[in-house]
Amino acid sequence: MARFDVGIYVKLKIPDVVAETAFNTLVRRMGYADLLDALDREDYWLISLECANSDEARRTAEEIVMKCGAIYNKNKHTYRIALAGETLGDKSIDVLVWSKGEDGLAAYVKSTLVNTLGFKNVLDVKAGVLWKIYFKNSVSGDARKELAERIAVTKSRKEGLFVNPHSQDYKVLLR
Amino acid sequence: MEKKAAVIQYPGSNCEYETARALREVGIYAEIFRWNRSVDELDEFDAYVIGGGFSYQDRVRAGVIAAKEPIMGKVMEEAEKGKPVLGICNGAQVLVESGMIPGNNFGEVEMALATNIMKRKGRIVRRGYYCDWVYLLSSSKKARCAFNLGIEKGEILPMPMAHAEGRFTTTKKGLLDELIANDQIVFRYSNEDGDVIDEFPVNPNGSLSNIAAVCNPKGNVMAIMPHPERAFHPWQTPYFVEKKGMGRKLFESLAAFLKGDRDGAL
Repeated sequence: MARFDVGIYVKLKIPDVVAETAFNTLVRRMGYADLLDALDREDYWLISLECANSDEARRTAEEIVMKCGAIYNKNKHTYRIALAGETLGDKSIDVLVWSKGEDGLAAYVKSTLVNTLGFKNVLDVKAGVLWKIYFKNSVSGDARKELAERIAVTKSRKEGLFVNPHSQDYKVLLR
Repeated sequence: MEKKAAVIQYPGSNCEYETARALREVGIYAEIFRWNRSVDELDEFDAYVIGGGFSYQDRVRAGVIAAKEPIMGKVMEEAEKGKPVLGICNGAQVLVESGMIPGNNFGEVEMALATNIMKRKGRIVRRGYYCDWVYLLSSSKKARCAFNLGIEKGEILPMPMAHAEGRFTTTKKGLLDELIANDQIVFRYSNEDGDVIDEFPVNPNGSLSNIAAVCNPKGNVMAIMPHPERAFHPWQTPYFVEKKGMGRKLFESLAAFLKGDRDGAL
């Protein structure tokens, strides 16, 4: 048996008003109109599983998605699964945001998976939000990471939006 | 001349009418000021109050979208000139996300109001939204800021709280020591006897050092998580709380400050 980290990406089927509001704020209030094309958002669940192989880990993740309503509701969500090291092929620069320290939602979902739904091979659960930033073509590849970081980390009223570094951690994910 | 206060109303604000009424009761002309009015119209006001609620439905993070609106740029300008600004609950979150509170480096976001985590005996017993009457211990000296002119250090003010993200926290090294040294922690959560205990339910949200309200170094801006406007009239206070209508003192203090009476005796 080995440990497998599986990412579950859950997205609303309807327009995401939180992403819309964030995009509006970046474009209309924070001066990013010439740089940003679009913004999207997904719930991100990192589930660590103890499994015999990667196929079993993927199957378990699929089962978790289907059974755990706190992660996915088929009436309003779509989802994707990626094992550690796999890429989803998106064109965005992503910023993953999660709570610093104790995360109540992740703790609740872990408890539900293990104690209520019987997934005894769940070792850990982490919950986060994945902000997907789509830059205009005029923004060069090298500048994208720096810009994504500037957009993400709140330093002042005018700088940064997605993360308050005093209560949240983040990671910029390059494709 | 009658002093004027603007009560800023965002989409999702609440208690703006109670707040305006509380201001009027202490002799301040109060106007509910919608966030999308021309910001220059704010010049004519002597004080600003950002009330509670869920501005922009708390999208992205409580208070952050409201903080980016031009109206907050103007409020910051006016605060720098020394005009008083009070943020209540969601208003406190807006002030923190604007970098006005604690304001030790004015404009820099130095703190967060994170999700409540209630602990007892080292264990998490509850998380998230919590609504209750709590006791605030006046922790800074009288007249430290525009909102405690008539409040003696050690006085206890019962007030209701209702929030999910009220846990003052920071990763900035030395900031808490600085707040204590500068006497910027205006109110702390305590029990009825004034004992500051870092355990739920005395500390109802896990706030650093039991902080319930912080002012900026100059003392003209304060962020408070509990709701003084909901504890203004004695009849707003429930039977099990002995001291009635203690939130009024904060508004009386503001009225005195605006009149230039720094001793706070109205």
